[in-house]
Amino acid sequence: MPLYESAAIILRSMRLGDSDKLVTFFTYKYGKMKAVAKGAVKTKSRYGGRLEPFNLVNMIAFGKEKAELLSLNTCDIQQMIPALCANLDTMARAWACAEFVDHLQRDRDENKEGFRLLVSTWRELAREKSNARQDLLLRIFQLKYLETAGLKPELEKCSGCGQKGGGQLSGFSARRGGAVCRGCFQADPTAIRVSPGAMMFMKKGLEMPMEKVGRLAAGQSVVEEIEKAVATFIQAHVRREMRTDRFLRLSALPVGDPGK
Amino acid sequence: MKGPKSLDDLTQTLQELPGVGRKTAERLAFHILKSPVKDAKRLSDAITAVKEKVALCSVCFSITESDPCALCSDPERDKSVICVVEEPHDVFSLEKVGEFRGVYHVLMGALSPLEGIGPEELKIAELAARVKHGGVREVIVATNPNMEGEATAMYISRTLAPLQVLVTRIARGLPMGGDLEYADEMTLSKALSGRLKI
Ligand SMILES: [Zn+2]
Ligand SMILES: [Zn+2]
Repeated sequence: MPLYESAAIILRSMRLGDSDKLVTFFTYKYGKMKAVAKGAVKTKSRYGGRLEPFNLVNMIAFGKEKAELLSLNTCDIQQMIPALCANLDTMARAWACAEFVDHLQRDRDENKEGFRLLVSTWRELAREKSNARQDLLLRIFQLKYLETAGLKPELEKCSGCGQKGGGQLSGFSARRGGAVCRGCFQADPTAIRVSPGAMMFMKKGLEMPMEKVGRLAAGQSVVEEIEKAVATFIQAHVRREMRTDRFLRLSALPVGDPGK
Repeated sequence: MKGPKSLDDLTQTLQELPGVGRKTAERLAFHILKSPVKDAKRLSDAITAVKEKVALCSVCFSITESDPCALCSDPERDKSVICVVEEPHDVFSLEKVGEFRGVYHVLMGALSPLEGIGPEELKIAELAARVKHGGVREVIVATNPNMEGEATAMYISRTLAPLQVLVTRIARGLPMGGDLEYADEMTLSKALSGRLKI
């Protein structure tokens, strides 16, 4: 039976039956893989906290050639990013990245660039304190990840008619696949308006390494525009509900009067 | 082989229980078939009774036959300390220890962004209401030591912050009887940060 050994990121860890865990790994060598960790829920399990999301691990699993579920054999921590779990807001954004990768990556479809991108994004998230900047990191991560998956939105020219010119692009059409000129924007009821500022930040973000994205001084409204544009794009191309989105908003809400 | 329908039905039903496979279900079904009528009747009565009599306590949401539950209505229990757990069976685990003299609050799960379980699906508003009602000094969050449990603990602490109650988290760290050598990095780091003065 083939053995799979690789550096991996833990995207998700779920209880399976009485005492096992179903772990979704994003492996460096083979892409996304799911494996069952026997007895992992028990307090005395040898896995301990090794199977928690956001950990960078070395895993060994085995299973048949095309098996959907592998058996986990070993999982050792290579690196943890504890700051990701230091507060609810950062955690929610780290989770959103994990969900995004989980939804976009098919099983056993390697994406080494995506792997590195996820790790560097989490490192930046862990460093960043402000929610607005964390949101920018998350959205630029999503754009960049789409690119690694061959789904890069067109931002250089109008994705409707091909017309070039940055200033002329005033909308975003998920259906067309990216930015649209004024004429194409008006002709497409599904397109949304995007300011030149937001358009520029998206372009810049796609070009620069994640380590520098955090330094972009994008205002709250620009981040919200990018969020909307990316969200329409995800809806059109990924077609899966991003459940973590609700948590981003939840953690931004003041609790108010919970007694009512 | 196809058996009598009632036997098949019983096997099928037993097989739906957690941890029971086809073989075990068949063995159990045959055992019940061979046992005296009064034993079989006792089993079926016990199943009916548990469904008819056991409900959730309207105060703490743990399972009970009387409302409020025995713990909530026990004058000896300290109502000023609430221990928050994820599931009703966690109450039993903690009660076995016999050390805790306060009362409980069962959340009926934990926050789970990936499964779409938010605070509305849990008994968090009910917990806030209990605290707001007054007389609560400390809320001990004993959710599971995993990412969902941690997120839930942080959310509870955030929710209760305006109510000025002491919110504590049970210590996460090394299991007794274990060996440091075999502990994973995450557990060790939690054990270190949660260290106590001796
Ligand atoms: Zn155009
Ligand atoms: Zn009760």
